[in-house]
Amino acid sequence: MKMFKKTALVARLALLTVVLTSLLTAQVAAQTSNGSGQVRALLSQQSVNPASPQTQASQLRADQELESVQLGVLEAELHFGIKGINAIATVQGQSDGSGNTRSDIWLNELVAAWGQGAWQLSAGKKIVEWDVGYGFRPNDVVQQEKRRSLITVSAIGRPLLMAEYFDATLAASLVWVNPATSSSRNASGLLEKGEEQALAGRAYYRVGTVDLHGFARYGVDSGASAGAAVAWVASDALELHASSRYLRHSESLSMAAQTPLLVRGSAWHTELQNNLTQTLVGLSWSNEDQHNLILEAWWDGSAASPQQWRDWSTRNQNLLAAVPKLVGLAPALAGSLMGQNQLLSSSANLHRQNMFARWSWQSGAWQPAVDVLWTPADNGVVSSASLAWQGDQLRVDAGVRWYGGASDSVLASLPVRKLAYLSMTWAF
Amino acid sequence: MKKLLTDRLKITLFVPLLTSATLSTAAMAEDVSALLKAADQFRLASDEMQVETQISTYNRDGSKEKERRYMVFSQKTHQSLVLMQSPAEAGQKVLMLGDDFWMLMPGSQRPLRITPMQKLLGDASIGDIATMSWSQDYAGKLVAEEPCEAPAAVGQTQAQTQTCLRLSLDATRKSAAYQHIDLWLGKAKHEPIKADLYVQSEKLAKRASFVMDKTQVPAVVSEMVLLDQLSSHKETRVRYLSRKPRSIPEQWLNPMFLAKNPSLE
Repeated sequence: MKMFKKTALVARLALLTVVLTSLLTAQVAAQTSNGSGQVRALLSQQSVNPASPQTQASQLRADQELESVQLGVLEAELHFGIKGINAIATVQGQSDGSGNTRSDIWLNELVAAWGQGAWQLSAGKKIVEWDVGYGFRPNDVVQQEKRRSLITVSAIGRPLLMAEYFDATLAASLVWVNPATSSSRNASGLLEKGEEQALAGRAYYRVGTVDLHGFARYGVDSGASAGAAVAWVASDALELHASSRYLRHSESLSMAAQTPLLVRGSAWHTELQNNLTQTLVGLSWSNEDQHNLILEAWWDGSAASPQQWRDWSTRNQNLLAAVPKLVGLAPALAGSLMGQNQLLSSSANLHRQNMFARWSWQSGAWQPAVDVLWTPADNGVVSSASLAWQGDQLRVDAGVRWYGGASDSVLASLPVRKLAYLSMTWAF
Repeated sequence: MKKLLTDRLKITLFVPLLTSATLSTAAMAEDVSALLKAADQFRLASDEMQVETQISTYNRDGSKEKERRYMVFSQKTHQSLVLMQSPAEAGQKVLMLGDDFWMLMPGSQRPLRITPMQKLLGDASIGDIATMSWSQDYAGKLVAEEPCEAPAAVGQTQAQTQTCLRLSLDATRKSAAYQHIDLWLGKAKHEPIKADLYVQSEKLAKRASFVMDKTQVPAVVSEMVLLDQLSSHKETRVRYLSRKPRSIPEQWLNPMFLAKNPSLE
């Protein structure tokens, strides 16, 4: 039965996207001077975590059996450029194991650029990425992309106007982000990350083996922040990097200590934190045999504190303990449990203290890799193992990621316990 | 008696050897730097070049494993910009400024500072295609004149045996792809014939041979053949598809410019 579901899933995806992809590819090839792209098929399967408050809440509401969640994605990404205009477009079809399908098309980038000399101007939707870290980038203040994704995908750019200056050793950028957009807030009342009008600037200067970066940002709602970063190649094998950002204000979610188990609406309210820092230090090391190691540690002052997570865990337990006593209120208790998950997405990091290690080895066309993220505050662990094969045009990626660690850690309480994926990418 | 015979034998052998060494020393007085400049001319006609290369890697059984294309802008004072052009690597860029290196991956708009070791990754390292000037990066001595076999030139089928100058070279920059090279040049034209390439740990990493465009009057190197000696034992062929003098704007050599898409016209 499962095999039948998978076959049907792939067939639906193919039907949804191949025609669109072919049409778009032919169009691009015919009309642009510089076109390339890729077609990707991705199958993933998530094992749900029965200990997660979200899983228990969904069982209370729907009395459902726990099932693995399958997802199939077929997408085509097209890059094209002509006379100073560059674009990246994605066509995507998705199908889950239950037969639900959807298709979508979006522009990652559509930007016009002027200037061949020292000064250059850009306008449109553009991907702008800054900072020096791998696991966390406090100064990636324009794009604010998700880190540690399983598969490398193109980010979705921001609407912006950008002026840049380059000479041999200096680069400076001034960006007006979301010039025609007003701020938007998510269901928790927090500012959507990067979805506000802002001015951001970066200055870069190269001094021999050292790259120096300075950053500043002023957001209409989030206020001012400033940062600096450095990358230094200390020896043939070793690169060291560090990045730090100071934020005058940052919004976070808070819950009063005496909040009752059942409340109308959300139990969370937004709170303004003042004078925060985010700091990362790290290194990358490589040897002649093509082994590569990345070690990083970072502090994110905007993340929830250990006490907030202890309160979160206590409230989860109290809500679950109340179910047998208040049977008639089970759906409402389940709703409160679901609401607890808002804290999981309130910041780029779950914890303030984070340690990250990644080993990879390039051996011909093959690249095995293993990485671990550890949150020392509660001994939570996310570990991943992957294997990639790269041919002339075909790339195959497969891997598994586990969420766990100490049983009372936040990472062990996430709705997902394990995630496996297989991806095939054809570049053209 | 036996000792006398031995001594005479030693003298008989030693005197010609001494004479030969003295003559060789005179020959070795030839400026190695001038030899390297002459050899460089067969790969680079100018200090500032745009060179399009195709790299094909073959397995031990002779089957083709992969093929990649690169556009290399080789500029003065050890500056090179490499644009990867094959579908598998499209959008990747590597900038080399003396001993400093940056890389841009296509999924990102963020140039990453990389170490010289990371630059060595791959069957044909970035150093193989971007570091082209022996005269700027190496110093050493002329070791000997000896017969050597030159690979068959384009359109030829048979290798040619000729007299070669053997040079022993050490890198003058720590970031040079290979820290030691044993290089054989043709005696008459000083065209590169073959080379043994050693990495920093003094291991022989690759054996290179150079295929010229013509046998009698070679003008340019058409192809460099690399045989891996460390692990894979694969054969990599670096073909020079086109060369032309090209000076690029200074901002192209700013690491942060890698996120831009320079025009190649």
